Formats: sequence, structure tokens, C-alpha cells
Amino acid sequence: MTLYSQPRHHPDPDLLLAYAGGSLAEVKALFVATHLAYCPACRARVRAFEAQCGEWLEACDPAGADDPAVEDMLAAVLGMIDSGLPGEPPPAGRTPPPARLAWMPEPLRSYRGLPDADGWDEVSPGVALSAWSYAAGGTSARLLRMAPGAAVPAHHHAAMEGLLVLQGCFTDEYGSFTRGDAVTYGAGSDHHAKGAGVEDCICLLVLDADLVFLDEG
Amino acid sequence: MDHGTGDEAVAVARQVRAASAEGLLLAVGREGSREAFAGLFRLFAPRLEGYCRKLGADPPMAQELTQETMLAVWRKAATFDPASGSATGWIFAVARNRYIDRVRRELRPEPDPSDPALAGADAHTPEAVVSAAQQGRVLADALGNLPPDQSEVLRLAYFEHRTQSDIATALGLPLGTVKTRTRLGLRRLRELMKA
Repeated sequence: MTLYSQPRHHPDPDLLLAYAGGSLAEVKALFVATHLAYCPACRARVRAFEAQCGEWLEACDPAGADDPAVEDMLAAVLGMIDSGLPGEPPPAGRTPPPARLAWMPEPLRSYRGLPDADGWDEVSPGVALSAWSYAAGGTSARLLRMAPGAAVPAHHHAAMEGLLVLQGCFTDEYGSFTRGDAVTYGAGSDHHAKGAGVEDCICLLVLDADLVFLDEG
Repeated sequence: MDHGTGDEAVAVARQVRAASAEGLLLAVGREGSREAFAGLFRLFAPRLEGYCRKLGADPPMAQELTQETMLAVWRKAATFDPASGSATGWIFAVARNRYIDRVRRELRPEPDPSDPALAGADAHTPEAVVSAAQQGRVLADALGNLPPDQSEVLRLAYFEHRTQSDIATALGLPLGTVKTRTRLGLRRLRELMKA
């Protein structure tokens, strides 16, 4: 098995904290979680934030906790355990993802329709967006593919954009990004991503607004 | 009798609770101990219910989430590994995932520890494991050592899921002050992640 170096570009602590605490909406949580699959250091960071949340939980005021109510709830839960409750329900209809996606880590590989949607729509020579996309809560996710040397056409950044490298590498004015690297661009920022290296670069692309390519006529 | 200072007493009490939470969770996971489960339940159920209320659940939903969380704790206790995190953090994560599922009705994307494509699962040298764990400890220490006014706004934002303007109202502070404290707290964490 190929040994890859650890990612050098990590999601901002704002995203890691919101992911650990649970306030981060699903599509951005997918972005963070897929980076975690590449990054043992960020997995440890998220666990550290969860431990902090655990301490905050212990410090929470008990909810109107008169003892009888707690004992009643405990009795009810023990009753459910005794009545031989069915085990953990199996994950809902999760079919094994196709072998062509074996290179892609979970949770992306099985995510919402991705395994069933093959194909790409070319937006400019060497640059394509996946036929698959998913949007919820104002954020969309899709895959972006750049051939070596192919530049993504100029586009408006009305809101946050995040790129997570799944394969290959790309460069822009902020640096060079390889497998597992996560980078986010704020609203109004400009960047010009370009495929680099010898193989196609494939990224998970998350956007807080619609992607609008400028007509360069 | 010397009870030490108030702060010390609180710190000691927290350590005792943390140690007992871990012992109880391990006893549930390894031996299926009902006594240990009852102990965990009495310790956490009232706090989980209070936390769900803070997140906006109404009282019946808060009770339901609490019961479901504790049921999931019983079922999954055997998967708790004390080497990879604290018991209280583990219980928090179970509750968080129930909340996302039941109240927000969203999926919770998480890496799969059994995924062959997971980095570090196939090739973890002891050095890599230690260095990842250190990254976690560095951030945990940093969170613990932030000035209390910064740590409080981070707690309200990320643990209680409150907006900046909501936090400003709750603390009786100008919005700009809340934004500054948040920015300073996050900047400290960001610096440590680059170090």
C-alpha cells in the first residue's frame, strides 16, 4: 500500500470546533469528515474538542432534576434493555460502493447518491464537474476534476468555497495542495486553481452559493 | 478540616467525576454491568436533558433524546476505547449524533475506522500515533488555558450552538466584543495548529 505524507493544510479551527460540537451543517461536516479520513492529527484534534465538550456537559445544570423523574427514566430505559430490544438497526440501505471508488475514503465514498452517479460535465478544456452533486442548507457539494496544467475558469466567489484534494495536486496563488489537503476561500476572494503533477487532480468542492463562471467571451 | 480553596475543590470534584465516568463506562462495556449503567445514568441523564433544552429541544423531546442517548450508550459501550479519548467526550458525541439525527434530521458524516482507505489505519508507525495524539493534547491544553472570557464565548458558540448576536445578548456585551473574543480564541488555536 502506498504511503502518503500527512496533509499540511487543515480545516480552520472554526470548522473543527463546529464539527466536534455538532453545530456544523451536514455538507460542511462532510468536508471536515473526509479530511479527517486523511489526517490522524485532525482526528486527535476533534477528539480533544469532544473531550472539552464532555467537560462542559458535566458542568451543565441538571434539568429540573427531581430524583423520582430520573429514577423513572432509568427504570424505563432498563425496561427497554430487558425487553430484548432489537439491536442497533442496520445502516439504512447502504449498498457497498462500487470498486471504481475504492480509492476514495468514507464518508464521501457512500455519501448521498455519489456511488450511483458516474460521469462528468466539462466546463472548460481539462476541467470538469461531477454529474453528482448534493445541496442542503445553502451549501452544495460536488467533485471538481482538473487535468495537469488545466486552469479552472474565472468564477465569482459570492461566498465561502472549500476544496479538499482527493487525488493528484493543484496549485493557486496561495500554495500547492496535495492529497488530503483542505483549503477554504472566503467570500470575495479570488484564486486561480490549476491542475499540477502528472495525473488528474480530483477535489471535493463545497460552496456556500451557486457557482457562476464569468463569461470570458 | 481543610477543604482547600473553592477552585481546588471544584477541580478535584471534576477529576473524581471524570474518573468515575470512565470506570462506569468500561464496566458497562466489558461486563454489561447494570449497576454501572445506573450510575452513569444518574450522573449524565439530568445533564443531557439540561443540555438538550439549551439546544432548543422542548421538554418531551429533551427527555426522549436523553433516553435514546443512554440506550445508545448501553449498546455501544463496548466500542469505547479509553486510549482514544475521554468517557465524557464519548458520551457527548453519542448525544450530539442523536441530536443531529432526531432534531436537525441530517446525516452525521464521520470517517469509518474500518475503512481500508483511512489514512493511518494501514501505516501507523508508533511515532505517527504519538505525534497525532500530541496534536490533540496541544489543542486541549490551549482550550483549557484560554482566558475565561474567550473560553466562555467559544463554549456558547460551539457547545450551545448560539449565534454571535445571541451570545452578546446573553452576556450583556456589545456584539463587537463577542466577535473580538471569538477571533482571539480561534487565532490562538490556529497558531498552535501551524506550530
